[in-house]
Amino acid sequence: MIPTIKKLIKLGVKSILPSAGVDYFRRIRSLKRRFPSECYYSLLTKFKFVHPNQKLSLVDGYLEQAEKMFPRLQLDSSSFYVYPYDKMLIRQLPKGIINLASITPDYGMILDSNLHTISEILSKDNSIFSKRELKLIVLLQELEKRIKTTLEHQKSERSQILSSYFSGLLGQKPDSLDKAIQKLLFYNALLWQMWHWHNGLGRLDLILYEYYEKDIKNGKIDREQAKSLIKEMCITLGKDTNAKSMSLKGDTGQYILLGGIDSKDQTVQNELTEIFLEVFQEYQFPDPKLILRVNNNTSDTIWDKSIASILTGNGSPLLLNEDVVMKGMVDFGYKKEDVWNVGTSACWEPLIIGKSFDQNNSLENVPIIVSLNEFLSSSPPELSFRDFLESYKPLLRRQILSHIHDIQFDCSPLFSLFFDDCIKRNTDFTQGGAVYAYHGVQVVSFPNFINALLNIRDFVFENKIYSLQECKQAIETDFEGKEDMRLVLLSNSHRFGSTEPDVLALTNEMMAYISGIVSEIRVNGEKVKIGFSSSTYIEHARNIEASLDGRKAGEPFAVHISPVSHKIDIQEVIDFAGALDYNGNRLNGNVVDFILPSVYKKVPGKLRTILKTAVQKGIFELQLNVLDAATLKDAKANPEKYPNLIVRVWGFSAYFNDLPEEYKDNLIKRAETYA
Amino acid sequence: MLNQGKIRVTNIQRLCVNDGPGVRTVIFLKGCYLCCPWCCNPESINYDSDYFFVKRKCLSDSNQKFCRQCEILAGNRNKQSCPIGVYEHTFRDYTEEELYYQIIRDKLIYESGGGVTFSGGEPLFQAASIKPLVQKLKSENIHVAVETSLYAPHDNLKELNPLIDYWLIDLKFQYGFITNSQYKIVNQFDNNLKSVMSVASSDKILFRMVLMNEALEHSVRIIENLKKYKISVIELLMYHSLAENKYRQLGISFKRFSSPEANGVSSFLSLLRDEGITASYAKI
Repeated sequence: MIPTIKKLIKLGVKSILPSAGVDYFRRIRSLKRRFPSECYYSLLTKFKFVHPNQKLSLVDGYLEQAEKMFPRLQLDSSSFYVYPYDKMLIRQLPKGIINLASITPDYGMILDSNLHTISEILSKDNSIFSKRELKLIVLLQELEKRIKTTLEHQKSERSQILSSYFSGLLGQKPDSLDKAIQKLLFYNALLWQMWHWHNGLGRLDLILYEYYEKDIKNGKIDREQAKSLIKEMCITLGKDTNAKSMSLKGDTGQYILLGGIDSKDQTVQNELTEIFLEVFQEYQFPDPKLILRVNNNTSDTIWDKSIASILTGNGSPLLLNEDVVMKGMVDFGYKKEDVWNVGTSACWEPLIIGKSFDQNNSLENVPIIVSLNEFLSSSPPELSFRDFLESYKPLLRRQILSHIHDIQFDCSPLFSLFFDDCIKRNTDFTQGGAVYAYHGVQVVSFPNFINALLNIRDFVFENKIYSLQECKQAIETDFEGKEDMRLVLLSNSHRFGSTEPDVLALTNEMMAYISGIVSEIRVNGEKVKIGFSSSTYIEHARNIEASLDGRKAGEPFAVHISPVSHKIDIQEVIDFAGALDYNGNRLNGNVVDFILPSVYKKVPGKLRTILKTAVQKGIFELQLNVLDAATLKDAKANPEKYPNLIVRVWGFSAYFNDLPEEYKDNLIKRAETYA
Repeated sequence: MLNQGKIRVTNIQRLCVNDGPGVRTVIFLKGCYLCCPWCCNPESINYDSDYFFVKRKCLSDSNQKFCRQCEILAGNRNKQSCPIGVYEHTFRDYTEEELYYQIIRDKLIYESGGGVTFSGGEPLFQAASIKPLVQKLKSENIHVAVETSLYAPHDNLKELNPLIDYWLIDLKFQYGFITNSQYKIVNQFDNNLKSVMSVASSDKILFRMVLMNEALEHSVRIIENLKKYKISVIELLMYHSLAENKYRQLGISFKRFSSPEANGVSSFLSLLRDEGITASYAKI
């Protein structure tokens, strides 16, 4: 009853208010979600929206907003580094324009950059693009000067040091680790300020190492001091988690990527790789987070330090099996000479750092179980399972195609300064400037979908226990009066995650079919990637009716590629994931996600063997929680006892206490499955 | 009577970290000459066919259409064939090849210092059945361990003794041997232990014993036995009652012991130390 009244009120408000008013309320509601402790009055008075000038083009509007915002940015003087991100000042996008998210610039290039040199290059031609970029450079230089002046007037020793950094910071390569971090954070903050979301940090062990090495060699800092600077950097990045979070607190997409090969095919595993892992083990940041690119040359030291961090329960690092991922990227169409610099879109969808405008999460996820349910209500053929499946496929095709369409994205003169090949092509980052613009889509409910198909095969066509009509009724009535049927469906030993040949064959067949459909279509003129891990397994399931895997209406979908039954153990899921075919366009994130029983805390060396073997077996990506159900249950009942309990949710970590109740319940249920 | 040519297995657990060196696959075999009331795998005691009855799953009281076919409601379907899985077989019979296929999936793990552990039940109960499989594993340099009470016919031990790389010997010094009335044999523990110790060096043998509060009353006898058999290192495993549900599902009575109290354990460890016996105490 209450939800219906709420819906009516919403409808009333929408019909009375002009669209601008509706937008305004939407903004306030979004702010309330991100800042739950602030009252509405405070939100209305403290936060300033910077609106786009509708008379200007998208890019000019962007620059005008930057011009308005940069001089007004409030600087936080308590921070160890200057981080010019003012969460109270919010850039608004023109209507119908989708913001940019989950992009990773090449901070190596940014640190090397010299705005004077870039200005000189741009001044050589008279294009509109160059004029716009030059305008942005002036704004950046003015901001640099303002920061320097502001710091000069502050008395602390650190302010004076930072002030000296801001003398020419943007016009030269930094000469120390501390200064390099400051330059990196300056640009990172401005990306957030310009309403670009989920900004990845990229390969900081690779990028920052030269500064670290130089400082150590010159005796400027020692290892412990370097560690302290890395810690301060992480604290600075994590201090605005609320403001930067999209749907759940902690979902900021701020990942730091460690390990992996460099441009010369050498695996990056230096002192800074170790320092980052040590910092995460000791301080257990939920935000930012770590991703580790692993390969056969990843050293035991790096494995052990990664495992020590994972075993604290902070969820970092997620493991990315780079040989499998890079091969998939080349197969899809990324250049072989570029894939050494693979990064991810905030969570796990691969892209090329510094070259990709790939928007891997901007299309709505496809809950494929919906088309299967629709098909069941259309009196499908009952001859054989194969007939059933072939007759269903056109409907699945229509459903998938309906989710894939062109999108009008925001522009980014700021990214254009630092992304290949924007300046060379004289074109904005989103309008053809970036080397790659392969966008992506994900399916959600894939494990439920496969289990539903296996149940139809086994119980309708092979054992003839149920008719399709009964299946249809069960879905429509949410299994009311059919609890026995639901239990039969749940008890099928042929389940997603099992390495039985028929289960693997059906899973690979459906993945290949979906991949084929996606390959038919383009988004903004470019081919599209598909992934089988989705973060919306709870959110998307809320309004979706029951399904033939035995899931009741509204219950969460299964999480990524994970065991969905206590009869399928972790090793079997690893085998299963390793036997899936990720070729073609099937590379938009395929995460094996499981909860390790806490017994592994006592034997980290043995856990190393298990994880290394998983990589050898060909899994794509691996995300781990180390939890036991009893602790989670106690934490739910007594949140005050667990203020620092961190869990990995989807591509990010969060404090358990910050999660909505249904996410807590879902984690507890999964921990019980794996016990 | 053993099912010829088959190996009767109650469970296969992969990625085990507490059952021998490295990461291991543990094969739980069915059948045991003993019937220890604290056994945490009661389904592995009797070799013969039995079922777990999962009562909470049974819907026979709710007059569901599906359940009306069940023999419990005078239908034609055997109750053990319940598709909801109300009755679950406690075991599966594998051929040597089938079980080998299950084991070999983790070959990569074995190459990193792990292996296979045969547990149970009493793995020596099916010694003749598993011998060809163990030989095959050995020929592929896979490390093989056995977790046994050594309460088994000496001939059974002789089948496997030269092939085994590591022994986990589950001592029964708390109450002595509590035998399974179905499979009475002559106690050849002394002989068996002597044989194992003559073949395996001390670092290839791990002595274990489950410790419950009640057993602490027999501390003196336990220590006498340890000394008698020259056992100087032992791992004590804390008693737990996690198997209670399995007893209920098998329809057999469950005897509850109490978990040892910290003070009692500490005194016992100190007694052992005084006798020159090194003991560790593992909680679950």
